[in-house]
Amino acid sequence: MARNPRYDILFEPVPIGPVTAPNRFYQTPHATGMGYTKPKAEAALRGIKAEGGWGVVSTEYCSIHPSSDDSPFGFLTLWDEDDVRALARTAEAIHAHGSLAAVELWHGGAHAANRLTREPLVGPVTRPSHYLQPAHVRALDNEDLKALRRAHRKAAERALNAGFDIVYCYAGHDYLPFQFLSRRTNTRGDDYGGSLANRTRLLRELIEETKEAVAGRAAVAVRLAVDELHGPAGIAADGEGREIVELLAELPDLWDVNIAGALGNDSCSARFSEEGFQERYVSFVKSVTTKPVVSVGRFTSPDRMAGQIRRGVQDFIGAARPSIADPFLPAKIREGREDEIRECIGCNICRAANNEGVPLRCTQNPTMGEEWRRGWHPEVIAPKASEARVLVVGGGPAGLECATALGRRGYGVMLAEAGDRLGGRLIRESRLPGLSTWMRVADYRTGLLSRLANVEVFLASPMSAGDIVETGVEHVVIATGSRWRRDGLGAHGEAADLAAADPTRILTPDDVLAGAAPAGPVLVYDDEHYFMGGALAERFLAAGLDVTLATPAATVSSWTAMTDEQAFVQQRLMEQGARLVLSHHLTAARDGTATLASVYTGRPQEITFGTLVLVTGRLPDDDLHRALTADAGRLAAAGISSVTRIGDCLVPSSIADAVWRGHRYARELDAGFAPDAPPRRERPEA
Amino acid sequence: MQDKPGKDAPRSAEANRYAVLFEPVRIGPVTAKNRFFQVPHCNGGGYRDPSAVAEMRRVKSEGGWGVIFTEQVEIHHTSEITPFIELRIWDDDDIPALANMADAIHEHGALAGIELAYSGTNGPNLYTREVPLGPSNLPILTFTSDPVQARAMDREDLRNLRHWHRLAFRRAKQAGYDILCLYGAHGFGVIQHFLSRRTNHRSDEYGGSLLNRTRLMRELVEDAKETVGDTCAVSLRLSLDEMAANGLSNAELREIVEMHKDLPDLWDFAHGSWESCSGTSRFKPEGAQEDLVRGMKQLTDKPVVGVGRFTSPDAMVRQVKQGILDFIGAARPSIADPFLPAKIAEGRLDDIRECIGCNICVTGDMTMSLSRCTQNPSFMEEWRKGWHPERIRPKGESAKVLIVGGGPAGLEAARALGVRGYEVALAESGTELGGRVARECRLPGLSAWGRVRDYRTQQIGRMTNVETYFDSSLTADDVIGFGFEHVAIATGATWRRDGVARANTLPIAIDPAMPLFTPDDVMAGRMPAGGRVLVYDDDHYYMGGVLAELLGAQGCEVTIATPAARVSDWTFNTLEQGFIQARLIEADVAIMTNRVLSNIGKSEATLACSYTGRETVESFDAVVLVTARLPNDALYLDLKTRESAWADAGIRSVKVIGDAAAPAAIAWATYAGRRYGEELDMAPLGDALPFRREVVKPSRRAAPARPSGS
Repeated sequence: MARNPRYDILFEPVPIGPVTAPNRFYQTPHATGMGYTKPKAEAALRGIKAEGGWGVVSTEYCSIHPSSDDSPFGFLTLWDEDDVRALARTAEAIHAHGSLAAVELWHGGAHAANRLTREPLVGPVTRPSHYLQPAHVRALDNEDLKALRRAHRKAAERALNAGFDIVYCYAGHDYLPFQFLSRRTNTRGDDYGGSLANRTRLLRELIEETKEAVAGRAAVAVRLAVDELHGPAGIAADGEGREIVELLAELPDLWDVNIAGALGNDSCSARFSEEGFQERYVSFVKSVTTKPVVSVGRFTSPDRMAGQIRRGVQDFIGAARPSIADPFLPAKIREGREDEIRECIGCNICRAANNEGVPLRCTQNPTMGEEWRRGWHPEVIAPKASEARVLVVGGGPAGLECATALGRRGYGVMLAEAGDRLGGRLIRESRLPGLSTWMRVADYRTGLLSRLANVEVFLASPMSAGDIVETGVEHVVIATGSRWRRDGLGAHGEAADLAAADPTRILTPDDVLAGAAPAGPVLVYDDEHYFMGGALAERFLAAGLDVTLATPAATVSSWTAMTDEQAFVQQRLMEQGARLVLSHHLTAARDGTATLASVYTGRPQEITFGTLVLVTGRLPDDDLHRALTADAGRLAAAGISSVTRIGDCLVPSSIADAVWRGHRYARELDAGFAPDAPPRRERPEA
Repeated sequence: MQDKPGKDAPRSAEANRYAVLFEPVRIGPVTAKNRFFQVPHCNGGGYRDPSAVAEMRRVKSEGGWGVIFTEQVEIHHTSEITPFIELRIWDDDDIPALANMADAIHEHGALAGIELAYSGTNGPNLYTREVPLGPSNLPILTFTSDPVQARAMDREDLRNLRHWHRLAFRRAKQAGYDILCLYGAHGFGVIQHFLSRRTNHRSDEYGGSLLNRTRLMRELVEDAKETVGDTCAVSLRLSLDEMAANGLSNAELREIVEMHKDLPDLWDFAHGSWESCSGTSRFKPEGAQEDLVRGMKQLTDKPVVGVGRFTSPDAMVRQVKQGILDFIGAARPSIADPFLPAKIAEGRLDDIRECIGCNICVTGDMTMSLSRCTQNPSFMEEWRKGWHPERIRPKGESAKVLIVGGGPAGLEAARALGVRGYEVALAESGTELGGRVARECRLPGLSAWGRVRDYRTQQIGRMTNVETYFDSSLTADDVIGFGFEHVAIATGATWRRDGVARANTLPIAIDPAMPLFTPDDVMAGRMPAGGRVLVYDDDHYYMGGVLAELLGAQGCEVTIATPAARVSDWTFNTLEQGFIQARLIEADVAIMTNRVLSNIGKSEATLACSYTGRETVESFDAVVLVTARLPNDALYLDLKTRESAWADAGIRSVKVIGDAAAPAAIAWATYAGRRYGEELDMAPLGDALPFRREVVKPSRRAAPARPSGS
């Protein structure tokens, strides 16, 4: 199909200093959870982005010196020639598709860990380390600053040798140059502290010296946080943030601007921010520099993107998360296939991967992070290897992905859904406050299914074992989801004594999402720790109910710290008046009274409730699987050669895991896999 | 079971009372040369840093341990505990790195043990994304409550599990290991998940009765013996008590041992939860597990190993002579002193570097970084920096060094330089050595920390080339006047009294009428006389919690407030957080979490919620600020401004080390002292890295296509 001319503007080449980007799609630096220990996986991941049409593809943060080590997170290093060889693979993979390769040179200063290198932490002033650890940061003296600048210059030279076209000076996300910029973290009395000109000195020097080092053979970009969301006391877009850009306006070849204060501000999830949410902070930048400007805002709509350029907000469409959800987003717009874009849902599972120190993953794009180790490609999948027909039972995230991926391979697929709509848990959960974008997981796949003639969808079709046997398919996939437990057993590992409780006053998330109206006061007991407990509490508060949230963890929705959301979740609940009972686990409930014990001392306290909502463990809905597999003879007689569970029916987990397992089934059907083989790994070679 | 005395049995008469520790002991088909048994322990390096791990184990072998184990080794990719970094034996390509470790362990005659783990309900599989498998459908039990559940294993899974174990047994044997340990302790191994009613809710032949719950354990041990038992010993590592409701109790364990007397070749007993097993000296004394393990040996004919942070040879002898243990198991004591067995053998008891039980080593694993040791700064630097716990390179070209400050950094620098043969003057401004260690070891529960000082003062006391000067508060003039070639400034740090730390990066308003104290005041005996005291902790390690405990015991009505969600938040990494918060609650200390101190008035303090900013005002009679510290670097800065005078005075270098460079934990200070001692007279590194590291070799070979590939 032809490109919509409305989007032509997105495909204009844009010069960046001495190099030229082939279009306006700019994958800004983002973490992959891989870093220096997985160079092959890293190169494959970035290469896919370039193949998908991103005009500029950046690495994640890349340390310039052992005094900045972010272990255990996946950071890159340009410390020596070994690193040059490793990173050259990435630059090469990006160049193979005509894109520009950018590297984000990084020094974390007080916001590094140095757990691996054990080098002293350094920063503008002596202060405790940013990460909680029993170490302080040493104030850089003049000699240290010279050494730091030298290290930055050496790293820039290595970046050039590795083949990069754009070299970053990184003054975002509260890292070292930013610590010099902000009065909150720079109280020096010398040439590098005090006036804004002094506080900008280090960044200016780094830019100038990087330009010298690359000597016109690469562009020099600055990534700057123009607002740290601390009001006028800190860097603010209507204050010193603007002044910094004015001071350095024409010095770099490109401005990459965003917000800081906490990583969760920039990578804010869809639950707490809208598409384009950074515009009000960054829109001034183009008015004070003639250099190209890039920023981010979780853009997935081509019209919004074109609008950003037309309205002069930025010159590039910066993207991290949308490029993870759909590495082929630019190609799809170029080819007039906008309706095939796999839109980022803003769930931040990708952030969780990095925060947990594992390779990147994505709810929407199950191939993310698997490009090298499993050879998966977001748009290409092997054609079918047999004429076998497959029945997929259950149209939730796992079943949908399985059916679409099998359909893309050319298999004859029947997808049977018991309800009258596809989506499964997505339909229910996307109605929770702030989670409407999650429905995109279903929407994208139902859109694909409508174009796959070899996949038949049967709605309102609950299947019994007998029904399945009669279908005559060769392979059966059971994706019937899971249900929340009613016995109080969650991550804390102990069930509660609920024998004396009125069962009508105890609800699970399934009941609530199916429409059960709780009577107040509501006690939400969260021993699951992801989004559900907090989101239900929010919904009850909005309905005017009196809400108490109790949890064995020390924070509300504790695992959302991994998705950069925890502070927002707890803040919202507190502001809306929820009562919190932290570090307590539920031991018993009788009519209207729950007993909670301190996880530290066991001391009990009692809380009265109208309704107790248990957000704990889940149990797979695998009755159908059990019934079907009970009689192997009947299966054989019916010609069914395999019955496989996927998704929450196999093991309850995140939506991302459900999609991934559905995809994996489709990839591996008829592939003749050795079941004992682990995925490929990168290991130090002795 | 006992053979003739081993070749490195005690050589001195005094050490003969420890002869029993050096008896060889048979373990199935192999024989340990003595009773010193380094039980499996993590080190933060694992598969990421295999050469570093191998070298660390080699040093233990050199130090005389009879048995040396790896850390936990994941046997199959369907069960792994990423982000924590242990070892893996998933395929044949993992064998070379593991074989290097076995070779290193064998080098000085130790038996090499490998701890095989299938993590079950403890493995979230964040890296491989495989479905976690456990006895029952249950949320994964991890530190971070990942939103991941385990699936109940069916018969086919159990058959697979046994098959995967057999693959691991063969690979472990191929890699050269003598003892294969099946891990079912600390809540980290699937065997325990089957044993415990807490995690085993099955109703088939693997659940219910103890006979059923032990079935998997039996099958795995029998499979191991059948597969490799002709040449390898098979041991079982089980929890003495799970320490949780419905968990495996000590009484049940005794039944298990009685039922399976001679099943494994060795019983390895560890306390239930890791927190209980690796208790710090603040909460657990040496030999704390004795009541739980006593009598086990009488239930079996097979040798028994147990741990207890043993550093006293007499306590070790008693464990053996009283029939409690056959092997003296040690993880932390072997980290603090890899040469502990050799020193006992040689009658050099004074040279033992005793573990202080601070658990800084555990924080390495918890934060996926190379583990440190407060007492032994060479730990995990053996390969990448070439450091050795007992040896150090000979003296370089210079001769005389002045060290200012007798705290942990200064003491370790003096010791290291003393060993190297330099002429060292150690100037201490006070009347005792130890610096912060001397003060902090007087706080409740921290007395063992004094060993950091004791070991070093003992060592330098014997060196004729190290001279200590007390009451020596030095000025820049003094230092320039002395004319040492090298000067190390190790003058420590001072706690701030302006509220600055992590939450407040700029000073807060403080009414001078409010009695205000810092940890330095309290440790010097200046403290609130009573009344309502606010301890404000924005440091998050032990100090805030310890002072709250101390002041509460002295009759103050204590409130501890912190911007974190937990008291002494970072002690989560030393496995102490639960114990600390419980102790404070039980001592009736009021706890205000998620609060930032924004203002101190004359009789009240304003605390703002760290989520919403909402402020509350509370009345107090005194405030103790446990916030940031400032380096005591005035002398260093004075000397720096007079750099032009150095040459004439014969000074070639002035360096600042330890807390005076950047305040940190004690382990950072001993490390800084050691580093100074190691690097003096070394050629400048220039742009070279200060350590070796392991990198993935970027082979240009095309990757083989996956069968499922596109």
